[in-house]
Amino acid sequence: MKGEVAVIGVGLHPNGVFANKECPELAMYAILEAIQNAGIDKNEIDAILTQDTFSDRWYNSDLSWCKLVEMLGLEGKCRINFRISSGGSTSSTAVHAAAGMILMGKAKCVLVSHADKLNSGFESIQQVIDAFSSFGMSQEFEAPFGYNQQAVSAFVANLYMKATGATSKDFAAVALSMRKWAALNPNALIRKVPALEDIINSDMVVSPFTKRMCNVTCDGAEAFIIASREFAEKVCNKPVYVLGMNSIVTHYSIMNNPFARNINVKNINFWSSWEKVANESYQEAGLKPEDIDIAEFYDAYPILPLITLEACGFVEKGKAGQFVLDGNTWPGGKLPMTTNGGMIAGGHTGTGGGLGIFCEAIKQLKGEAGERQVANAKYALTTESGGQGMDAHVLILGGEQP
Amino acid sequence: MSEKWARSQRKFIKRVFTPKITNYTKPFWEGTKNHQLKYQQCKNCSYIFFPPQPNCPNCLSADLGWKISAGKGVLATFTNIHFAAPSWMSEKMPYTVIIVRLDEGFTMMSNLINHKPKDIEIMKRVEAVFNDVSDEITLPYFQPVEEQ
Repeated sequence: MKGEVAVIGVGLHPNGVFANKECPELAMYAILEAIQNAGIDKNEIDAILTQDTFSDRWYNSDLSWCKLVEMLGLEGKCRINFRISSGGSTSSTAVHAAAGMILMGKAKCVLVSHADKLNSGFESIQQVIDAFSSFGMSQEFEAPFGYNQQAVSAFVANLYMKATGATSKDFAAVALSMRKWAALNPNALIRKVPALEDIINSDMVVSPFTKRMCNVTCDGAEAFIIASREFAEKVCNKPVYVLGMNSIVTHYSIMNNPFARNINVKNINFWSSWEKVANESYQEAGLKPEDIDIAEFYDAYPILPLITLEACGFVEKGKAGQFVLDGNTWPGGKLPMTTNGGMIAGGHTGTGGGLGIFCEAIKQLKGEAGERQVANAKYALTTESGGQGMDAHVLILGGEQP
Repeated sequence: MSEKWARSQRKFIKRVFTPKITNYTKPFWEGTKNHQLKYQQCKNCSYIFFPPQPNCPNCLSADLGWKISAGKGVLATFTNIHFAAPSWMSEKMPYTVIIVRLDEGFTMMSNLINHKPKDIEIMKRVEAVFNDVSDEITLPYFQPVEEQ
């Protein structure tokens, strides 16, 4: 499948608080930008996939995937429409589904859309917290203990510290890297760059993460259009090819991840699933870690970028914190990482968090990333993970075919 | 376990989260009411697993048996929640959420209680204690095992 499908356009509504806009309005903003960015006639879209949304039933039980067919005037033209969901990894899942339909010849130009209001769509911040303390987990064996989605990353971070000797400073370095990129991104939620010490010394939220290491939920919308190579090359002067994509699902509840069941301090292993899918994707793409110009890593919290920097072959195990601290992933660094500011600084729109990072990879490879543009970026590696870190997705994208 | 936390737990169970007990998880909750920690083992392939489910995840057999755990294990990982807790736990901050690997080989999520900060350590030995949060629900918590 290498290079047989390509992303041709992306669109993003800024992240923030938009109490006076409903999800359909946010969604259409991003979709229209994506259509314009792809340079296509809207009537070319023959499949519509919408991602899961938490705050608004429009995207779920109100069948947004079908309503969008009407809103875009595609009645009788769109061949298939459905909702797609794997939490934080949904944009990778959507690429997989779209690629399958395209390679089967059942679609040629697929629109993927998401909008959510994780700030103004709820009555209070406490309601948002309660939602993320009950979504995606067992209501019987997890929620009663005050577990929440922040604890997922914190569990792994505490193990990572035990296994590698990492400290709070390493996590702060990742948050700082995100802040530095977000400062250059007009769509980002938080654009101030604090001192490293301020990140370390901000209030403890969920140990070992302090307030400035945690993402902030917000409203936003994202969209992308993916097409067959033939169609992409006809309509778009800079298609971004999907060169490799692989994934694996390791657990539902993090308590049943093999690292917990086989706990042994001498051999704590959270790298293996990421190593597997990264190696498969490198092989598929015919590329090596040193060929990658940008690492568009899923964050949500500062632990996953460290693990994936190591598992994807960029840094030795246990050395990722120092690598980030030395400025390698910051603007001007040798491996720019999560250049939209991720969710830690860019803002968390739910399943759109990963989608925003994916769209950023496309912008970079198309050379449309504005102030954040990484010069001569040819290849990007993206990672995504959903639920309680249930899966590992690695995609390799190229502005050209190797 | 403070009375105040027990009260808030009771409130939360009734207000938000009365666990929806299913046919196949009922023996677990009957166990905790009797201050016993029960888990399933497959009679066909001997596989041990948690949480309870209607079939063995290893061989898919529905021929399952219930065993009583000794309630002892190790703290596999943890986090202390200082801020942004769900409303049913907000009075309890900071509290410690843990994953425990029981000696029988299964893992479960819980809270660590009756502990000092130095006890919050990966591989620390812990044991189950039971809190009757309502007439229907008893939650299993864990506390550090005192060094001999």
